[in-house]
Amino acid sequence: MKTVAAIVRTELLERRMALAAAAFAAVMPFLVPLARGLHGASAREARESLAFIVTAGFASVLALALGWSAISRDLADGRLGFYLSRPISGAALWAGKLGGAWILALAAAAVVWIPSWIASGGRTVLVDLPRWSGWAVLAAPAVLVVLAHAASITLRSRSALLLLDLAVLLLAAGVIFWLARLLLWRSAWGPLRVGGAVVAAAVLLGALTGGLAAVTRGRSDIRSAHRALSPRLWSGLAGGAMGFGAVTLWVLSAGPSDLSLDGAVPAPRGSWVAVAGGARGALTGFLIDTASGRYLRAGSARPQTKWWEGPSFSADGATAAWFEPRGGAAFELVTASLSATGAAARRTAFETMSLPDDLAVSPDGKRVALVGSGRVEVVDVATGRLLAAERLSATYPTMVGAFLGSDRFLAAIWGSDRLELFELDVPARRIARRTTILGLEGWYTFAFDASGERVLVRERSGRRLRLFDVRTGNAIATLTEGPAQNSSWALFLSDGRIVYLTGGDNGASLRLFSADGRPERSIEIPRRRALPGGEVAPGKFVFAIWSGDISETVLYLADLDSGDIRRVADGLYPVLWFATRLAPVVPGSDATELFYSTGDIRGLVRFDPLTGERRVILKGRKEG
Amino acid sequence: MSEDSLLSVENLTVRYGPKIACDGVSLSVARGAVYALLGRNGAGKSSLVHCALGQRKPDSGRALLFGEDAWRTRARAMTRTGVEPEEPDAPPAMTRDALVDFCRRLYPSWDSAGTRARLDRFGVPAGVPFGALSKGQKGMLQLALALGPAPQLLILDDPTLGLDPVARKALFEEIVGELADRGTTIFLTTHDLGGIEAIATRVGILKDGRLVLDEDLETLKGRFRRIRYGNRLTETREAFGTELDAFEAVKVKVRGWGIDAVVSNFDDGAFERLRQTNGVEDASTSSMSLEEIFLAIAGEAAGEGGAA
Repeated sequence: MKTVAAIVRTELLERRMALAAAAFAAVMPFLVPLARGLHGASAREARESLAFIVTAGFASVLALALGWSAISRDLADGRLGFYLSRPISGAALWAGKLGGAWILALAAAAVVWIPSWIASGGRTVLVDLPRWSGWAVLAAPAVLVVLAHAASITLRSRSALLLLDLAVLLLAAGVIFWLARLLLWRSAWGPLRVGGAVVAAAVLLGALTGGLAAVTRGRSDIRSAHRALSPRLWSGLAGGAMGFGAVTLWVLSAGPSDLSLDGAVPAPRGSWVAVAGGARGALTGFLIDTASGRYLRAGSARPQTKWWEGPSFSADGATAAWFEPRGGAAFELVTASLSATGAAARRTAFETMSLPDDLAVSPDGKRVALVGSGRVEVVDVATGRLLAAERLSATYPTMVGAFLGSDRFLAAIWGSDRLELFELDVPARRIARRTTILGLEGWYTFAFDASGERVLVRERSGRRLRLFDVRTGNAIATLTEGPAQNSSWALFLSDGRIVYLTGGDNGASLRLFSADGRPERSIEIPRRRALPGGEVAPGKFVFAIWSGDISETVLYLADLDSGDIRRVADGLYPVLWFATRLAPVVPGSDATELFYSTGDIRGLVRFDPLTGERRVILKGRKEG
Repeated sequence: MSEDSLLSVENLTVRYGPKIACDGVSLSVARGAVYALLGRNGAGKSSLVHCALGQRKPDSGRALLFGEDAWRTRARAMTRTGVEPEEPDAPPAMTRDALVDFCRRLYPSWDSAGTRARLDRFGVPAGVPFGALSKGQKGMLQLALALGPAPQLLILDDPTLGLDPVARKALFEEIVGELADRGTTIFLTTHDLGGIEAIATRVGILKDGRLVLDEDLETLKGRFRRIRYGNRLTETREAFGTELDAFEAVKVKVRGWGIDAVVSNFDDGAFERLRQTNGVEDASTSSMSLEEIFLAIAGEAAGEGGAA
């Protein structure tokens, strides 16, 4: 320690001019407010801000310069022998030289900062710095000194080994960049931070041990020093890349059991469901077969991931399609054939630079339609070829769409006061405007029937519900008009009748209308909110109601023909309540039996309201 | 290696890429000896010194200081070793007093008064940064620093390089004084053969990385002699016969008046027999200086003549 102190002292003496330069720099924060004619608080703020910037900048540059020259310059100039021919161990020489550089950088920072700090009465207006910032101020110059020392030895040695260093650096950077993209695509900010910290720590450790070895093993020969440093630096880079890889692998190997469920979208038929949420710090999506438990990683790897933007299904539930990032800014279309025996993802040749608003799969699973940015595009899944591409709007409105058969596609532009509907004849590549429904008020939602001939439009927070003829754009009927509701949902039943489920301060109600919009039945329910499910059998409609906390939902089964309702479960609510896709759900399909379990944490349950049979698909899990 | 050897190298090889600086060199410096390692520029002297100081790891073989591997125990060995490098290498911004103060903190014992007195005697000015001193002053300052801890072993790598005659004389006087006072073992490389001849006890000569001579100076000077004689042995007088075989001539010049030879195995009896040989006239012998011996051994490349 005595030896280290002696070397530190020497370094400080030798480079004391740096402190004089710091004193000169300390004047700058005082001069600039004067030059700009600032007074009072603004002068003080300008001075302190500038003092902070000058201090950080000066200390950083000085740390880099000192780290660059402290040992390697002596080594290159053949002056390290002065120390090596004395009873100074290599480690003490390294610690003393770099320690001196670090202390000098800190001292220079203090020289720059303190006058401004004193002028502010020992306080600063730069508040809310995190608690660790003090340690960062101490550690940052040390890190810069260590890195600059390692870099200077590799560069000053002018040995061919430098090419290998660069190759390893580029390789490691490439691997880390490639891995980081996988995490970025999944918005895995936490793992990215951890991975970044692992890389930084490993590289720093490599530079630290390498820099030390360069002195203890390289001694008076800079090329030997470089040879001693490089393997440790490579180990640090490789260790960092492997550490980052381990973090990435850990994130990517998450299964459905790791999922903190955000939401689920079931296939209209069959037993598959798309789920999405957070798993091991990343946004993750899966396709899960609720019958067998088999699963496939799918979707959610998109920057603006929302759980309802995951895979889309064909009407028969046998095909799913979604986008995965491909690199750069491109996304590639991926499809999967879903069956009871499993599923396999298949990358198509179709790529796009911007994600669509909506994605629909044709009933036969052979075509995928993309709508968004004012355009509709239909892609052949097998070849990735664009079968049709038409522009519907010069602007960028919100769009949705649905196949009305494999050759016909219905696209809707969701305007502020109108709903524009277009039909695309895919084989003919011909787009035709079907209708424009005008005069819609307030925020509205809509739902098509299975044939695409009628559309229900719910306006002004449920104050009004109207039925329109898609061919003409004319209103067939106004089903209801009244006060705003806490919640309201309108949907077609499989036989064409209409259910309107509302929840208000005076209680919830389920109203049944005929196919042409005439009221048939109304069932009052003593709760303030309601969520619809689907038909577990024709005419058997399941829905959830609650008053305060959604964790206290009660699941009811309504016999729409008799008007009877029956409480079938507590703490469940239907997955189908948020069905933005337009493909109709078949009564009794598995989708109608999927429910979120409530409580502290959301889970996914398969529950048959007719028999009471219940099976957990995903346990509720907190994001970890 | 003798237990009383303070410095030794064993089969030492040092390479710089394809170039071999030291090629299997072995030598030993006994306690109390003054070992002068001689060689032309590039012969490998400094590489050997760097290995001996534990500053460079040999490519093969090893260097020992105080009986221990110099590479592994360098720092410990340096507590008992004083070093003056070939090129002045002290931090350029530090003054002599700052350097003395720095060194004082490193050694278990340090002769501050002696060092200051020595520096005053050498005329090294106080308050002048090391980088601003003359080359001679730098050399003398580094010698003073090397002697400061009263080392058991003094390693001097070409200490007279760039010194003027006065400084060179002062340096050798200091070394002689050190020897007289404390019997310090000295290992040095030098091109100043005249200066070292008076104090060296053993000499080694490196040539192209190989140690071609390693011998006590007294013995060396005893066996190396110059022999001159008139040559009536051959008609042409342009060659010589077998008469020098017993002397192991290392350099022979045939001149108009006869033969001028340097031999490496002089023997009085053999010389007497030479004198009495028919055809040999006016044979005489003379001793040689270390410089002459060095030139005879290492100077061929400079066009100093052929060997027997």
